[in-house]
Amino acid sequence: MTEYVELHARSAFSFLEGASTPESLIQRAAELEMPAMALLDRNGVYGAPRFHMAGKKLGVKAHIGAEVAVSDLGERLRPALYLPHLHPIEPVRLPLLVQSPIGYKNLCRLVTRFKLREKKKAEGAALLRDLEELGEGLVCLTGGTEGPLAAALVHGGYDAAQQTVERLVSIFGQQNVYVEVQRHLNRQEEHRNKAAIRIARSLNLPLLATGGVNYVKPYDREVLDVFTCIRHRQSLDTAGRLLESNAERHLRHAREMQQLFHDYPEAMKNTKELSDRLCFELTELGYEFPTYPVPDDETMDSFLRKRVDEGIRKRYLPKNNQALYRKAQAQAEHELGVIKRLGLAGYFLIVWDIVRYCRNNSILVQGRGSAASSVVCYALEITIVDSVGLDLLFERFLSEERGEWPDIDLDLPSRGDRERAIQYVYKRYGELGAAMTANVTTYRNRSASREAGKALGFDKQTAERLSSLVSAWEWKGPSDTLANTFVAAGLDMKNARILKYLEMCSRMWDLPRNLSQHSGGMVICQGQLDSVVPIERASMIDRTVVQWDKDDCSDMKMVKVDHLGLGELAALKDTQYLVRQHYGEEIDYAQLPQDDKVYESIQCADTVGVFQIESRAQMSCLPRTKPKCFADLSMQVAIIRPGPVTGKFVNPYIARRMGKEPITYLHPLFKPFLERTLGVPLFQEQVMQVGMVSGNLSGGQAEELRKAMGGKRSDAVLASLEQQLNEGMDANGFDAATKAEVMRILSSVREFMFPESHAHSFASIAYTSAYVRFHYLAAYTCALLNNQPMGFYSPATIINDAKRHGLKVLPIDVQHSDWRCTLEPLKDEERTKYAGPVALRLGTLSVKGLRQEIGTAIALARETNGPFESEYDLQRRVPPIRKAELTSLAHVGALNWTGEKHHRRTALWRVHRAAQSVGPLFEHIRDEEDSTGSEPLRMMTAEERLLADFTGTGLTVGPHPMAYHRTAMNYRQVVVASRLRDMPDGIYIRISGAVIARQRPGTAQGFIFLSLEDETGISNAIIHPQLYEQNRVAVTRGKFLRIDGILQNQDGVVNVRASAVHILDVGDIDMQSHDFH
Amino acid sequence: MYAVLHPPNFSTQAAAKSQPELRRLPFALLDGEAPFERVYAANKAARLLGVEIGMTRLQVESFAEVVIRPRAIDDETSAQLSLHEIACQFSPRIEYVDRYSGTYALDIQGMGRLFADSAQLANKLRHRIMAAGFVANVAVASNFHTAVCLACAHQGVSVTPSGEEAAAMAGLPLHVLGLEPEQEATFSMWGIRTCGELAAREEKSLIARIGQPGRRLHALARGTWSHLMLPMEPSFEAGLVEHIELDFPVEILESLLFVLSRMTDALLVRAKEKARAIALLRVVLLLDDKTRYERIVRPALPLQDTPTLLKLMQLDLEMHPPQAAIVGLELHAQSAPPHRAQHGLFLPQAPEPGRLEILLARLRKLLGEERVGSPELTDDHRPNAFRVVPFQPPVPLPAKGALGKEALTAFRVCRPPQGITVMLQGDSPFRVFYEGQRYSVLEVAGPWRVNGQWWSKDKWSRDEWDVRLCADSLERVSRIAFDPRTQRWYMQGTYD
Repeated sequence: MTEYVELHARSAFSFLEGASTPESLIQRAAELEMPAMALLDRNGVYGAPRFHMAGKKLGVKAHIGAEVAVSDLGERLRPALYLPHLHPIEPVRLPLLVQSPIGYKNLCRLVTRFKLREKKKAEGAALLRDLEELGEGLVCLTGGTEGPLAAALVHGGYDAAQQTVERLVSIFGQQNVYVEVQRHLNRQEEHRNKAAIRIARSLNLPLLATGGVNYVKPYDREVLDVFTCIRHRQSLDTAGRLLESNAERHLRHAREMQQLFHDYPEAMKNTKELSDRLCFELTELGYEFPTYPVPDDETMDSFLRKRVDEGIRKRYLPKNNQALYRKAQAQAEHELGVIKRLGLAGYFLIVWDIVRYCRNNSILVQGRGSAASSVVCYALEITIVDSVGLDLLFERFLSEERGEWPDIDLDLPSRGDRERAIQYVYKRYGELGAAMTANVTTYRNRSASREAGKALGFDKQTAERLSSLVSAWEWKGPSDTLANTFVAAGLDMKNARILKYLEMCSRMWDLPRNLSQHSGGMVICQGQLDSVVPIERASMIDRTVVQWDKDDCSDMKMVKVDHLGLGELAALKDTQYLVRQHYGEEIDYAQLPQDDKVYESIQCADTVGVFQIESRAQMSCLPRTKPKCFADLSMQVAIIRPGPVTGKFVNPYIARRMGKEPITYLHPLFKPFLERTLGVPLFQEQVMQVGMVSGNLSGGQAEELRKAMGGKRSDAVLASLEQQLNEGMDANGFDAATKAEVMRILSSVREFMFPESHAHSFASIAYTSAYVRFHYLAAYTCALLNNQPMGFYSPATIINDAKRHGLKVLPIDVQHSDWRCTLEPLKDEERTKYAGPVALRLGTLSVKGLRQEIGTAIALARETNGPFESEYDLQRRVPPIRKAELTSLAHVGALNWTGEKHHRRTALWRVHRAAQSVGPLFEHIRDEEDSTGSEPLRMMTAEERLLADFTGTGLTVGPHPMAYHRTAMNYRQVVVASRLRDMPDGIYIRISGAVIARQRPGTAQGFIFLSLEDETGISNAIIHPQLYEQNRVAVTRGKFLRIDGILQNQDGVVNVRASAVHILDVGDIDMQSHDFH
Repeated sequence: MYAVLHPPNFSTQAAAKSQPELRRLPFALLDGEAPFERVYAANKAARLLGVEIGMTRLQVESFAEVVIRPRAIDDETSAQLSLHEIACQFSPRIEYVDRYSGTYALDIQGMGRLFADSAQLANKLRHRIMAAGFVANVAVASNFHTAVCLACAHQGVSVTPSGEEAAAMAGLPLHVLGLEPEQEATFSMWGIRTCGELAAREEKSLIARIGQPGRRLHALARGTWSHLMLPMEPSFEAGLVEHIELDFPVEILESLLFVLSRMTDALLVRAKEKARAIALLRVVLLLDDKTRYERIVRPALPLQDTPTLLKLMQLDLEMHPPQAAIVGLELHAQSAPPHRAQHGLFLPQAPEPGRLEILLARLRKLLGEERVGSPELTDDHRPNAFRVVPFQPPVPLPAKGALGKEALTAFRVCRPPQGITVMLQGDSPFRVFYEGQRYSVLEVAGPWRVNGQWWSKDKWSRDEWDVRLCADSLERVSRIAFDPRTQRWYMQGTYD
């Protein structure tokens, strides 16, 4: 260990002011044998958890601090006025080191205070009075070029500098101010150092040598320069003095520092002394589990117990199964014990409170993830999965040994309802008591290439386009590297600047770019969160965010609640309302019966619009797996995930379900936990158990394996466990082939798999949506359309599917349509012709370019004063409506019924006149044409109407576009989708239709899957990579295709293996395709 | 009467004219900056294969048989000149139709003496164009716009008798009217596809719906929209040219001055007639070796003074003399409003602009182009980085407060830095050899390290030292620098 400790370093978490991650800084400190190191990022402790965790692993003590902007200590040093430069005016930044737990709390509060003083997301700056109030426990340095001493020296001379230091001494105390000297081989800096040393001597303050580090190695200065350009929106050629003047701000060995500061040995010695004084580590965070206010005669544990007892009775007594009830009681007792010992009762009550709020305010809510393994969560109505009945492992959620805290994720309807729930938490726990977790945006392929391009002087448009060259398909071929993309784009790879560009792109990857808010994760700490981690404003109004992301919060042992938005829940909530209104029935989603007919519809892949099982891959499995019960559905939901697919578990599972393959176990030891999934691991827990049983892994090791699942660390974790696994398998008598297979199974942790509890949660929503779709098709379709965008298919496909199921869909009509889609009772004579008692009326929300307030105003004007007499009448009664909006309505036929029934072109002719301003004098005067109307234009043809429908709304209620071309298709021997199922396997066939989905999954070796829709249904085609290369334009851009190939019709699953792809000329109809690139 | 010639797909015709091998091939012209070019034009064969205007290079490359060429503006300019010349042979009054490349409208009123009738004129015009290697449609009508529309829509020659414009227009598609995208969308929605259908609407109804443009379009569709022809005339600026051919080659510049003076006078007279001055002179020397030699003289202010302009040209040509004897001269001028300045009574007298210009030109001749002007510091870490900008007299400083409170140390910079020899002790300079003198280093501070431009080939690096040097009784405080890339030492300058 050396006698030098680096006490002033910035990481890339100083967002664009540092060029190395905290981990790489501390890694380098370890290599340089430093006993400790401090991280002082700009205005926060963003990188502190990673710095601390990495330091813990490497045995380097991680000191925490921050450079805090102080507005009344003057402006930050800038080049002299006579020198041209682009430096903006910024306040000086005071380096503060945390000495004690109180200091850490004060630092967090200080940062929070000035960050929240801002009205919106901003850097902000502290005031000296904040420092006076919250200076305890902090050690202050006088800083380098960013600091107050350098600024005062240049702006006011020696006397001003001395006064500034005296002011700092008066705030922090004589013992807690160090005069900092940095040496970056800069003449002006050395000049300032001389003055600083004089001040230190005169005030009897200790000197402190620091590196003013911005990066690990000199080479990293280039990244910092590029970051500087990005920060100041300049290019390297124009940034001038904003850039570093040399590459000396790197981390140095003690020996080098000793040479640099040979004339001030005490400045070196003081680093070690100060480091020894800094006794705070991030383990002493002072975070306490949140508390929940309970009545005076209760403790949180007793209060929770009562709630759970009530819940168990409510949930289990109606099941009329005493054994199950008793088992649930026993399990609840066990879980409550664990919760009590871990002191987590407050956390459960807080989540219960949020759920209760949602229920009382008609917000659908459901817990997902591992929480579904807990009967306490079931009893508190946080989850809807009966963990006891399904025999789920509670320890997967919460265990005393693991020392890890629970993570409850709540699914809420997207948009408004979710925001209401989040705002409730803010209101309940105060601005300083709850905040969203952060999301650290890092430089990825596209953003790195765009910003590096701008910095290197490529013009904005070129940089944007270059970044768009990066291959966007999910699956990337071996040649899809950034370098190859550039070569393909015609860039000269011998050009030094282009090479530098490419190099900078890769060096910037994964460095933090900025902080945003996590989609739904919240941390709660009754009124004192600001003393645990600084809180700042998010860009979204009324939201605050902590400075750490969810992994950092988890590493710091903070519990969080995730409020995730799920469009499907919003659709289900709307369905519930519509069913009550139009069917006169009440649906209780918690008590839906298991309906065989619903399962039958699922078995034949009739699942367009059904949550989770509507995708092309799911549809191709359903006819084979034929789910018959809820457990089957859970497995079905879990099966089409990257883990089972790459682990090659899908096909064996399907074969075993179909009885084509015997159910065998790799080893008899696996039977107990693989039996229910037919010997094939489908859930996370099963892979963990394979590891535990075969390799004698401990619960902790298996848990480590689970945490690495789907992440970059999985390979490293697996490698670290390999030896133990091999030894364990040898001990258990596994043969070589079995060992290899076990390792292969474990390697599937590279990809994501569902935990069983989560699969159950999702399966329950999937079943619910299938149930309501089967029984209340009109209501469910209406709700789906009102909550777009969501799911796999476009509204056009959803409507076509519903029509094939007998739903009557009525067009948009201003005399009947609201903004959202609605239901209308069917006339008596229509009841036999269509399914259900109601028809679906499209809302004006589908009309492109129509504002919501206008759609609503039209409905209101109609309800208030009756139907519109003409287009002119509509314009007069809804004055804010624009000409373009009137035209859009007329174009899609929504005005055909204003006054006497007329065609779209007449409406168009009239709206163009109605929208033309006649001036205030004649505004309300009807003229001749207004009352008589004129119809000089000819009617639209069917094709024109279709085109207008798709251009104006993206869908049509009339016949499918392919129906108009059926004769021509018949002539070319094209087979309709509905007939494919009855055709023999292996024949050569032609299909055609509108492309409704394109997929190139990462797991399919470059194969592309297309779904085509015609008037009878959906057909599927598989495109070989070679065929794709030959027909790139057709496959990626063709709206309507004809595909020739061999029909595969096996076990009810129908595909066409394409041998030729042709674009069909069906006019300019803009069918929407959901492309998953 | 108007005759309009319109070469369809002009860009591809121009390309095929300059590259005849393209005539038999399907080809597309790409425009835009690599690698983001898009198809700008394609010939019929390529369009039949499926090439569309606006396709990216990648898309068009997927058509194996289509030849791809970059769009050549020069080819188009030269093709347009050919068409221009042909048009001029048929009428003295011609107008270029901006909306369509290569399209000219000719006023053929009164051309009856040369051509039997309009049809004959149109046929001859077309034949002449075809003989020049282009395909063009020619339309004759008494309404200018009708003729333009017909030329765009009808292949070959079409002649519309006066009064039958509406009938001739009736069958044409609407796009010939040059609609705005919004109007095109509106008419498409209304299902109106031809000019006849548009003409059949009531004018009042159209105006009530699409405003005053409706009136124009309606009249255009009926062939009644009038046009004020603006025939192309040579511009005043283009006329500011003088040229002369010499009887024998001249090698001595002085002897040219007499000629140049006369030419400049002639140009100035023309400029002064329009109350303008000369802002730029382009001197083109036709040399004995058949080459052209060009110089540009640009006075700081527009001048109306022949001697000054002449002197500037003389100094410039003396600085940059041609490499062969001169056989001809061209003088092209650019005019500008003359400079007028209001002098302040109490402002210091500035030199007269013309004389200052000559002085600067003399200095440039003496010292070189880039060494005359005002120095300006640049935003760069490079030591002593500055650039020379056009001479600008310094703004007079206010009487007080110009200098800071502290006395500044002056530093005399060696430009260029002088090479020196340095002996080191450890990493620090110990002895310096400079201008034949051996100096001992008494005190040293440094190194001060600066480097930059790492992203380009102008990458640079310096380690600087401030040293107190002593040799016998001579003592000086200097700044020396080491360049790690060349491994050489330099004397940067001396502190006063």
